[in-house]
Parts: sequence; structure tokens; C-alpha cells
Amino acid sequence: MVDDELIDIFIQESKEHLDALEPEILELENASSDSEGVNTIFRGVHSIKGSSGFFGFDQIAKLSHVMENVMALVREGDLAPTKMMVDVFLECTDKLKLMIDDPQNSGSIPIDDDVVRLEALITPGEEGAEAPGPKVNQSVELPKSMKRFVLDPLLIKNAISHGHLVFVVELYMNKDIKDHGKTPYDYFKEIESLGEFLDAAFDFSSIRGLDDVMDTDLMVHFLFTTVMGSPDMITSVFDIPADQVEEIDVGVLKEWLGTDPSKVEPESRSEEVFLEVVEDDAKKETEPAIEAEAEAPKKETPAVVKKETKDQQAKTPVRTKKADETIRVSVSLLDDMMNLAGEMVLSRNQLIRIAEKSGQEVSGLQGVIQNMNLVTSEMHERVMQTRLQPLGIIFSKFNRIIRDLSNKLSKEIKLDIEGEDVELDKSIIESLSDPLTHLIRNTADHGIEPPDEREAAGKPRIGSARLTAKHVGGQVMIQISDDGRGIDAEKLKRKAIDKGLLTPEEADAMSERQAFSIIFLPGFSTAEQVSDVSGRGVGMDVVRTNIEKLGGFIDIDSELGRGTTISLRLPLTLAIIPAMIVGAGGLRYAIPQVNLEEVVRLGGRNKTERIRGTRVLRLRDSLLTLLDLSDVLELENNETTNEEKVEDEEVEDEGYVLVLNLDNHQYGLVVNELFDSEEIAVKPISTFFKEAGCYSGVTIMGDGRVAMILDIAGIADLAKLDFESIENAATSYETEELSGLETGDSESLLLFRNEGFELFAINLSTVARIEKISAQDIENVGKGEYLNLGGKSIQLIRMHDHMPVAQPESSPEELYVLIPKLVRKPIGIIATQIVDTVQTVVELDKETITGTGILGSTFINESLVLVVDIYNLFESVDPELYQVPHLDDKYQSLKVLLVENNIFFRNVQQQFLTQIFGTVVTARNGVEAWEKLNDDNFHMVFTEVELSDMDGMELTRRMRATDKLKHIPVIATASRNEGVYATLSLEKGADRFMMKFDKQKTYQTIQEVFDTRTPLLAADSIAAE
Amino acid sequence: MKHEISDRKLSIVVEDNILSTNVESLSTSFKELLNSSGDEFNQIILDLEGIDTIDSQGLNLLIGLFQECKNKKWGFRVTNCTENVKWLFSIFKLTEVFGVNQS
Repeated sequence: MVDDELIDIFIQESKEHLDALEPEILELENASSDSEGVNTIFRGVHSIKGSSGFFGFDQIAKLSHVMENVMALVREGDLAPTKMMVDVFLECTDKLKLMIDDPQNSGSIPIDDDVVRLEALITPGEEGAEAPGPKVNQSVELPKSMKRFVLDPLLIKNAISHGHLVFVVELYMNKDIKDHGKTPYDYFKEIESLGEFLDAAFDFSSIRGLDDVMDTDLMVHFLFTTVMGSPDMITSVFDIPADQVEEIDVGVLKEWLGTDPSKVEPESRSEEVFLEVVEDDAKKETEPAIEAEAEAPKKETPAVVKKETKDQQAKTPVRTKKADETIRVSVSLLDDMMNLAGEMVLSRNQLIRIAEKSGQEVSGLQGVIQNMNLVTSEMHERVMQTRLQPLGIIFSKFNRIIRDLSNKLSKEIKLDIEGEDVELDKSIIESLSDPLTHLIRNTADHGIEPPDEREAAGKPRIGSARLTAKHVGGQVMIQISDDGRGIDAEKLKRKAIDKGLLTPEEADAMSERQAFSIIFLPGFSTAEQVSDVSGRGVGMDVVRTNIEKLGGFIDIDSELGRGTTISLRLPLTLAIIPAMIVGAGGLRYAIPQVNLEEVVRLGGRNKTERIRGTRVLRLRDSLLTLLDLSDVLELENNETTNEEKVEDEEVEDEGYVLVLNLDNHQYGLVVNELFDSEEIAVKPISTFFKEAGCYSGVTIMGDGRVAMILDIAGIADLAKLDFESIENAATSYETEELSGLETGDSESLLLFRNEGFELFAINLSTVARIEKISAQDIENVGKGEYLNLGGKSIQLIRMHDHMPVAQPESSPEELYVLIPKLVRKPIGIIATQIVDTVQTVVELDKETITGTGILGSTFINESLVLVVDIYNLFESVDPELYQVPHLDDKYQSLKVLLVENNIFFRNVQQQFLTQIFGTVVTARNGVEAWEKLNDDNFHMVFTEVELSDMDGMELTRRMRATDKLKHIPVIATASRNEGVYATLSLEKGADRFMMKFDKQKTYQTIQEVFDTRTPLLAADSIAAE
Repeated sequence: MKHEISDRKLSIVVEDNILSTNVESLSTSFKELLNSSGDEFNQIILDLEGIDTIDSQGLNLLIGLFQECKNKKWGFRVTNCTENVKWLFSIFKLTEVFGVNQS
């Protein structure tokens, strides 16, 4: 059995739909096909169809389905709304109401007539034939020509109430039809499209038998009604002489019908059936629902005529008595109560203040005021509660919907629901039901693929859908995501163009994200076939309309083949949230507590600092970017002017820092004062404030004062807070601070991209400069690319031509050229994007990614970076120039110490030296080198001059002052050609000073040094062994 | 055109559309059938299976046949009407007259 609670929700929702669409039906005749009214009716019946189908109320589903079909035609412009349509729709609406009142027994209510009449709207000609006729006024004399007909008062009434005219037409079968070359079938079919044949009087007595067949021209009279306004038009349509057409006076017909046709209209609705039941029941029970707004116009419906429908009455079930447990109250009434309660709080506060001053004089006043205080607070709270409901109310039905849809669509779908306890204002919850239902249906119908298709795509057979709700940045975010087939933006565009919703130019200009929003256009449906689940293009249209009505936003993100996520962001309007009340610039503000991580009081140990112009707070080993609320909002600070603040740093360190969480980022908001945390009722802000971008609402606090609710995302935007760069800066700052400087092992790296996705790093000290060039500046000579730079031609290389990285698909117009230094002949490296420069400690992974020109890989800010070895790269580009010297293996038995703090240089040098010497031991700084020198024996020392703790010159000096070490050759190296280094290092006792990286020169120097000091080397070499 | 008598019913199967071009010959055939009979049948069933078009004179023919039966106090019924023909009869309110819906 279906859950009673769900059925109750269905009943309520459906009633609301019917209430909403009734006035639109009444306006239908004047509505254009693309009007909102037509859409409203369409959506209403569509929703009822969907829900009732789900519950298995087939009669309701059947009737609403046919209604929807009619409206679909109207919406497409294929069917013009008529009065007849309005009539039939109103009748059907009433029938739906009757059935929805007691859906369990809806199957016993006959709808066949209604369905026939609805279908007749689409294919006219058969409608109403079997409807019982109302009584007529027999005393009214009808025109003679009418007397030959059998008159159906209902048909005539319908016709004239729609403004149709009635004609009697005389036709001769041969003269008027056969002689015009037509068959009767063709002739009447043509005319039937312009009106309706109510009756025919065929007098065939002139044919007495088969002998008369050939030469008799039979005459037939028709009673014809049409909207066509004049007999002339009739003669032209029938193609007959004017004297064969007689127009019947509609006034006489109205008299004959005995009613004013203007009152006929509501009478023809089956509301009387409905009202009869209500009348009967009214004696037994109070009316179950007070629907103040919706019911009001209905009361004015005049002159309900009772119809003898004993059958129906007998079958009509007695309504359930459950209703008096709840009373439905219009939301506007609750709004009023809410506002009045707020006013009452204000008055109470004023009263308390007055009583404090002068209340002592009146005995007993204090007690009364205290009591009133409590009651007012309580009432305020209760009124607010009346409006709150957990989202679970609507979420719960989706499990079932998914289950049923899975069966219906032969799919396997698992739905995860989170955040059922997020509370929202009732009106929002109610307005969310439809959009969410549509979204869930769409997910099941369009999003998630059939199991076989999923399996073929390498996905689990069971598709997963997630429905989540949470508070985000002072709003409620509801997301519906699936792991289905995703949305094909190009397909959407094509379809929108086909449907005439977009021009090809507009479509071309659309980004993928914009293209997703095409599905929100009315009348757009992506389903290849319209199913009764979805696919009429009604869902997304409804969703957006409803969400925007609530002041919310809807956003679609999708990845083809991977799934779709639809996010609804709803304002907290009317919701109640806990908030922290803070003060800045003498004003009070509310900050949603959901965003608030912690509060830090400034001063004492909590001092703020400035890094690259940004104010930060060091909070437990991490840096928090600070924004001063007064600055962001440009509030005038009463105590100090801005200039004073800059001068007097102490002033800055007063107040509080609110540590705020925003989509996995944090920032600190500095406020002057901290008040209380309160439950606040959020009220919408006027559009003036919305433009400011930093407020999400406004609230009246307990003491009656007004506080703006801060939108913390908006504030971050307003302050142009760029979390990524700040966090990068903070990371590098921290790295410098915490590790880099201590170990002296940090690198300055230039991060860049070169056409592909790979991120490269090159040691900044090897880059002479970066030139920005246009792709046209590059000249092709032979197979090489060259750039004219200051009169000199410099060869250019692209990484992917020499390194094992992906080939790019295209190259942009604007390029950068990195010009290296410390090389024999510079070769420019083309980069498409200079990403950043970072100072960081590199942990080089030399194993995972290897290849020409790649020193290794590392992670910088969680991105994989390939560290470039330009020397190796250039060797492969220009082997002649960068030819590796012929290396003797005469030094293979020797062991050297390489002291180098820079990982990049250390690796490059080590690689090279290993080709010359048997063993290369490395040390990262002077102290480490000194230890190794004392623990081991070396034949030569290479040391960088610039080292952090003990520099290369000091190391050399100590070696020369130590007996055991003073004879070891020392080659001092530097990456900067500072003359002073050469002088100093040689002064301290180094054998040579040279720039790094010139392999030829390095080898040459090694040879020279050993040549001049061979005897010592030989002696030591023996001694060492 | 075929015909068959069984159970005192004369079934006539008209195989072509009933148009002014063939009305005369059909009429002659009908008359022959009617005249040839003695007491063999008292009911005529006109089978219009497959017939889409009946023109003005075609209608005359059916009415003529109907009147013949009526004069003779025979039963008359039309069966196996296509939708088009049914619709045409409904316009002229002949559906009941010809007993179209009786099975």
C-alpha cells in the first residue's frame, strides 16, 4: 500500500495545481500559444499526471494525460483555444478535483465522457453526441425550418455559448455536390473543418424504389453551426445559392433553451456534482480545508444547476474525515503574523525600556511586563516555527519515485539522500517539490543510462543518483547529481537551432556551460521520444521558473559520459538560521554560523602580519588571510582614520577575527565587536542592497534592531580575494619560513607551460630573461625555428620536439621565450604560459618520469611538475655545440665531494661528475660537507660559493687550515659571475673558481688541476688506500 | 458483385465503389435479384466491405434498395462499412436507417 502521508502530499499538491490552473483556463481563450497561462495549465496537468501515475491512480492519470495532450497542441500553436475548450477543461478540472479528493476511489468515477470530449477538441465532430440534454422551454416557438430536425439542446447550447451562429442549409445531392465534381465524403469533410453538422434531415421519399435512382436529385437539410459570421460565407463554403441558406436567430434559441447562455458556461461543468457532495457532507463535517485565497473566486460562481446524476452520486465516495487535524492557512496570513510578531517584539522592547525608567511608580507593572516579555518571545518563536519544515518531507517521496521509475524504465538506480534535516520555510519547501520531482525524473529518465549501456561504458550496472541539501555560504544548496551519460552540449545546440529557439550564430557563441542552460528554455525537450515519465520539455522550464521565483539560482554542470550535477541555490529568505552578531564601524551585522569556524581575539600572541601586502594571521602553523569588514564595506571607523591606522600598527591588532569557511577555503574577517549568537529570521533584502553583493538578507534582532546578514562569499568577492594565489603565496612563505631557509635547500623555480598540459619548472637562476613574442615573429630556417633578438638570431625549441611529452593540438598566437644563461650559446625555450615563480624545497623524483631534458619530477602546490635539465636538453638539440667532451676513465678510481645546496644544480652536476669520477658524494651545505670531509677521504672537492650556513669560502679556509684536508684540490663554483667570488675563493685557498655547467670547461679545469697537482694526488691517493 | 442466399437472407457483396458510372448496372442487377426471388428471402444484407467511395448517385442507389425492401416489408441492413462510409452515413443520419452498427 502506498504511504498515506505521501497520498496526502499528492492531494495537497494536486489541489494547489488545480487551483492555480483554474483562473488560467478561464483566460485561455484570450491567451496566445506561448503565454505563461498556457504553460501553467500544461505544467499543472503534467504534474498531476506524473504523480497520479506514480501512485497508480489510473483514472486521474488518464484524464490529465488527455488534458495535457490538448494543451501540448495549444502550446505548439497547433490548436487554437476555443470556448468549447475552456468549458471542457473546466469540467475536467472539476472531475479531477472530485477524484483527487479521494484518489483511492477515483477509479469509480466515470471519465469516459470527459475523455471523449477532450479528444473531440483535437478531432472535432464527435463531441457531446451522447451527453444528456438539458430541459428546454417548450413554449418557445422555433423557426419552421428547424422543425424538421431532432434537436439536441446540449449541442445547441454549447454552440451558442461559444458565439457560434446556427444555419439551416438546403442541399441537393446532384446539383450541389455531384455536379461540382465532388463526392459527398470530400464535400462534407471539407466543410466539417469549418463548423459542425448538428443534424441532418434527409427526405428521400422521392425515391420510391430502384427505378427512381437514376434521375432523382435528393434534397437534404442540415443544421450547421459555425463561428463564421455571415450567411454569405456559408453560401460560399457550401458553394450553393443564397436562398438555400437560412440563419437562425440565436436569441430565439436561447429562449428555447430557457437559460441565459452566459450562465450556461459554468453550468456545463460538473461542479454541481462536486458541490452536491460537499453539501451533503457539510452537514456531517466541517469543511476540511480553509483555502482562503484559492477558494475565494469559486464562491462567486453563480447559478449552479443541479443535474440528475444519481449514478455518479451513488458512486461518489464520502470524503475522509482526517482533515480536521490540520488547518491549511494561506502563506500570506503567516507572513502577516510573522511581521506582526516582529512588531510586537519591538513594542515590547520599547515598553521594557520605558518601564525601566519610570515603571517603578506603577505597582505590579514589572510583573506584567516580564510575563508579556516571555509570552511575546514564545509567540514569536512559535510563529516562526509554523513556517519551518525539514526538506525530508519532500525528499522522502523521491526514493519511491526512483524505485518506480527504475521499474518503469528498466533501469537500476540507487538514490542517496543527504540533508533531510535542513529546514526551510514552508513556502519554499512547497515550491521546491515540483522542481525537484522533475529533476529527479529527468535524472532517472535522461541522465542514467540503461544497465547494459552503463556496462558497455565501463560503469557499474547500478546508476547512482544523489540528492543532497546543505547550508553553503548563507544559502541552502540542493544538489542532484548522477553518474549517468552527461549532457552533450553540441547536441543541445543543434536541437535548439532545429526548434528555432536559437540562431546558429547564437549557438556558436555559447560556451559549453551556457549551452547547458538551453534545456531551461520552454518547449525544449531532449528526449528523443516523449514518454509519460518526462520528455515534454516541461520539467526544466518549470524548475527554473520556480527556483527563480524563490529568488534562487539553478546551475548545471555536466561532463559527457561522466554525469550531471544540478545545483539549486536557494536564498535563506524566510529561513531561520543561527548567526553571530558582530559589530563593525558602529553597525551590527549577522554572520551565518554555518560559515563560522572559530573566533580569535586579536592582541597578545595573536598578532597580524603582512605578507606581500596582505594582512595575515598566523593561526596554529598556518596563515590566514584577513579582511577587515570596515574596509571591505568602506565603513567610516569612528575611532581612527585609515591613515592613522597605517601608521599605528597597534590599532590593527584590536578586535576579533572570525575564521570563516568558504568552499574549502578559509579567511579571517576582522570585526571590532562581538555580540551574541542568535537565531535569526532571514528577510529578503531590497534590490538596492542586493546589488552590493555582500548581503544575503536582513534580520530583525531580538531587541528590534536591524542587522544585515553578510554573504561571506560576496565579501570575499568584493575584496577580490583570490584564494589560490593567496594560498600559494602563503605556502611559499611558509615553506621559506619553516623549512627552506633553515635547510638552505630551497629553489627558485620558474613554472611554465609549453603548449601541452605539462607543467615545467626551470631553475630561475639559469634564466637570463623572458621575452614575450608573437608567433609571427618566429622565422623558419630549414627545420629550425629562429627569433631575431636584438639583432642576433637565436634558435628556438619547443619542448615536445625534444622531450617525451604530449604533442599539442594547436599553438597560441602569443608566446614567451625563455632565454637561458650559463650556457655556451643560448637557445630559446618556447613557453605558452608563464605560470608562476615559486621558492620551494624540491623533492626530486628521478625515477618516475625520465627522458631527455628531464631532470625529474616533483609536486609543487599539488601539481606535478617536470623539472627541466636545460643542459641535457640543449645537448640533444645541438649535439655539436654542446658536445660532451671525451672523458678519460683515468679518474674512475677517484672519489669527489660535491657541495651544492641547490637540488637542481646538484643533480645536474652529480650526473656529469659521475661520468668522470668513480664516486661522487654530495653534501647540501658547508656543515654537512665538513662532516663528510672529516669522516671520509676525497680526491677533490667541488663547492658552491654561496651556501647557507657555512659558505664555500669558509669551507675552503677550514680545509686549508686542517692538515688532513689542506692538500685536497678545491674547485669553487657559482652560478653568478661575481668577480668578488673568484677573488675571495682563490684567496681562501681554492684551486680554481669557475661558473657551473659548462661541461667542457669543467672537464678542462679538472684536468688542469690534476695536472698541476698530480704528485700530491698520487701520494694522497696511495695514502688514502 | 456477388450474392448468396442463406437462412432466408440475401447477402449482396458489392465489390466496387458505388459511383454514378456503375450505379445503373448495379441497379439493374439488384432489380433482377429482387424480381427473381420468390419466397427465398425476406431480408437483404448489403456487404460494403472494402468500399471507400459512394457518390451522390451511389447514395441514391442504396436508398432505392432500402425503399424497395421497405415496400416489400423486407429487412435491410448494410454491413462491413469502412470508416469513411460510416462517417458519411452519420452525416446524413443514415446510420440507424441502414442498421450499420447492428452485427
